[in-house]
Amino acid sequence: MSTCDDLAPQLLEKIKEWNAQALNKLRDCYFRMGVNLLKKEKCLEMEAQDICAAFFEKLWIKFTRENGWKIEDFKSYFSTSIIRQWAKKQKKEQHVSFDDFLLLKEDLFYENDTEQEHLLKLMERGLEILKNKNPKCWELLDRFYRGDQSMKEIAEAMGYSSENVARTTKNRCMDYLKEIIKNLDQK
Amino acid sequence: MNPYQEELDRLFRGEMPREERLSFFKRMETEPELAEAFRFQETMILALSNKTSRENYEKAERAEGGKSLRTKRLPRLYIYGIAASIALIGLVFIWQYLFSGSQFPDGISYELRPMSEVKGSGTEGLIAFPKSVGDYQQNLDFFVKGSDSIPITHNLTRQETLRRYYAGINYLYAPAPLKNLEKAEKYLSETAEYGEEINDRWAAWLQLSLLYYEKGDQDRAIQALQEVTKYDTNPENKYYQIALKNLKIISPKR
Repeated sequence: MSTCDDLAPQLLEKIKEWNAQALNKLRDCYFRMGVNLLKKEKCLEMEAQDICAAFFEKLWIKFTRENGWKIEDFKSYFSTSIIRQWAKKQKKEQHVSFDDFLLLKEDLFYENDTEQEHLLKLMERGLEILKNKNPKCWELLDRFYRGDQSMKEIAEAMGYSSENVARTTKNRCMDYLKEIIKNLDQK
Repeated sequence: MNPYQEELDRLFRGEMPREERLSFFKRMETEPELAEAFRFQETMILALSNKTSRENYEKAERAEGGKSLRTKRLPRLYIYGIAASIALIGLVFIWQYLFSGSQFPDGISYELRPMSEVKGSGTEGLIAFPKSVGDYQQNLDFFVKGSDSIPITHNLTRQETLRRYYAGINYLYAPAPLKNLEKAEKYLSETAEYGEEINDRWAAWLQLSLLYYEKGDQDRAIQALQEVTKYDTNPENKYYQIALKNLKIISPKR
């Protein structure tokens, strides 16, 4: 059976082809390891999760948009990157007292705090609301976009009468999510 | 429905050949709606993946005995410091509640008028933070009655959310013999789980963290604060600020 380390090179190649499921698989393989590694470096669990999440977001942006990326040993690259990021963050914190830190305008977790990052946070909140208000919608989107299931498989698993009905429902769920995001953004 | 949905799905599943992909990106330069739809979908996929990774991580850690949340026993002096901080935060809440008029502890959109809609006209006096045991009793009679009569089978409406939230904090802050942490936990947990808006849920989690801390359950106090910080890392958000500050105070010292 292939290990994550064996699979990583293929997954990275698939990410270059815009395969988001490959990114999910890579995350599933390494996210927990990354968080636990940072915790050993005395990073708070929540901060560790943020650093790891940011790594995979940046990886996606780089690999899909820039040519020539090649990582021979993903595990080492990942470990080094997140530890470096944690060290950088600690260094910044040393220069300010904790109270000052709370008042800082810049976001220390995301150095390049762009509109994309804002959208991402907004989307995470929107998905949380969707999950609470309409768990079936959430499940459908999760199965399709994260779980790599086909519409046929989803229809069977979730009890839709056909593939088409599942597809139409998915599109409605996307519209519903858009509405949630729009409302959140207006607030 | 988004007219580009099918193309976008093919793109993000890695099913679009390179040539088609390049022409798709070229089209984005002249079709702003396509560019917007692309951006929305990419962000959604990243956020979905991010959220699930965090949840899977937490499940896995819990399955292994919640190692991640285990904490060390704190020295007595440190506990006094924490207690003082928490009391101070409580005082800030009460201060805001009493004197701001239009704001309930840090962030919940709250005005006298919507509360009077909850309670009926002419009863705004009860909205101010109770000053005597009698006021607490009066509040509890109202909020608890209202909360118990509504079974939770769905996300709470605004009124249901506020009733439960107030029932919870009245039980939490009331003096003995009205104080009842178990009941406070019940109502605040329901708000945290089913509250109408995410801000309501965060407010409830913050109160729950104080409650757990008071009960001596430091692990759950940390978990409650993490619920707030998990989905919002905006340093300008007050919920985030308070939760992060409390987390740093009550988490094991580095």
